[in-house]
Amino acid sequence: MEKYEPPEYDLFNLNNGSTAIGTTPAPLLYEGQANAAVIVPPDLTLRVKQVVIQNATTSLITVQLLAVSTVSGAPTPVAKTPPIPVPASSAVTLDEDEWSISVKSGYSLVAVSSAANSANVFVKAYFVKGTGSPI
Amino acid sequence: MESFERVDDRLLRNGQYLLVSYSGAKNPAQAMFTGFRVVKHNVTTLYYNFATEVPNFLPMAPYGTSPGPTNSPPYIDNFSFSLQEVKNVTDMFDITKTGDAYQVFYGISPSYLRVMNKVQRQFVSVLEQNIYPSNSFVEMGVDGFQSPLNNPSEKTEFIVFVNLTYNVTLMNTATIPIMPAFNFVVNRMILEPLGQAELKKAILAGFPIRSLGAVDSSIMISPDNYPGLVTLSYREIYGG
Repeated sequence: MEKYEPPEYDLFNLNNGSTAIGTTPAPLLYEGQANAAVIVPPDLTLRVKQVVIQNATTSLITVQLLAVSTVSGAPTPVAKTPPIPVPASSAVTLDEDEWSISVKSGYSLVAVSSAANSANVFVKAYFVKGTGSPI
Repeated sequence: MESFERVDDRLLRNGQYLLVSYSGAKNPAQAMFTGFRVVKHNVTTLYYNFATEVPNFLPMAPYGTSPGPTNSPPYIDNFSFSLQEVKNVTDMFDITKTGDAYQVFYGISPSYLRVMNKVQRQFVSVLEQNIYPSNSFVEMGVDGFQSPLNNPSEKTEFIVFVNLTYNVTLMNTATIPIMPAFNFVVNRMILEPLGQAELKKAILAGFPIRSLGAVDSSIMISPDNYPGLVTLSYREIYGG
């Protein structure tokens, strides 16, 4: 099947906002006027085009992206990526070609790190039609 | 890359027929028909960015939310296409010149925007959308996945006649704010009404027939705007 390439106008950015990601899962926020977590709407699936993770510490950290069914209260992750190692004081970039991440309707994307206040996460995302796996 | 291949075959060209039926979906025997021949036509495109063409238009609020001071509602009904960049154009589909008509298709940006056509504030039933929409609006209409900005779908087609302007209903289906944009393909036509014999022949020959307005309450084209316009009944066409 031909790979779906989203048009540029469909892409939007999510990031961790003003607080670096730590050991408690934190929502990735829509970068723009809403500045809020994005719960995937009905009949759509969120896909991640690119992830950039910056390590704000001087030690190796690992970061995971998780899909949670709610962003209020204590979010319960239902699925997650394997830990992504990020060397000290550097950044890693994951492209969709290397790693497919999708979040289904009713879930939102959060991130967690192996160390407190350690990571800044920037996600370029888009929606596609249909439902998929949680992550 | 911009492509109009999906609508190219549907563009009405010189000499081709534009046939219209009124009502009749519930009771075909009550249908009325009228028709035209395209005398001249000219195709143009227009990129319509809401941010620049609509005075004070704010991004549409995310699906399921209420608009705040920085957003337009996530659902906008009866939207008319003004042209802020062209002075005094408050509705670009409000055409007034006798004999003129537009055949229009559009691509939609972003893909998360869902659109439904309305003529004179009434939902449209054309060949592919011949179901009257109710509260299940989300399932109706065309979104940008089906009709991408640079590759408009034939499903977006609407025909604008003189004094029968079109507007649209817009819905943001995504949980992020969006700023709509359209890419219109406009086929401006000059029409000549068909006489009785030719109209009957064209319908019986099976040329495509469009309808205006909802299935059960079509909107009539005025002969004042198309001198010589002929309207035939179902019986006059098919007998019985």
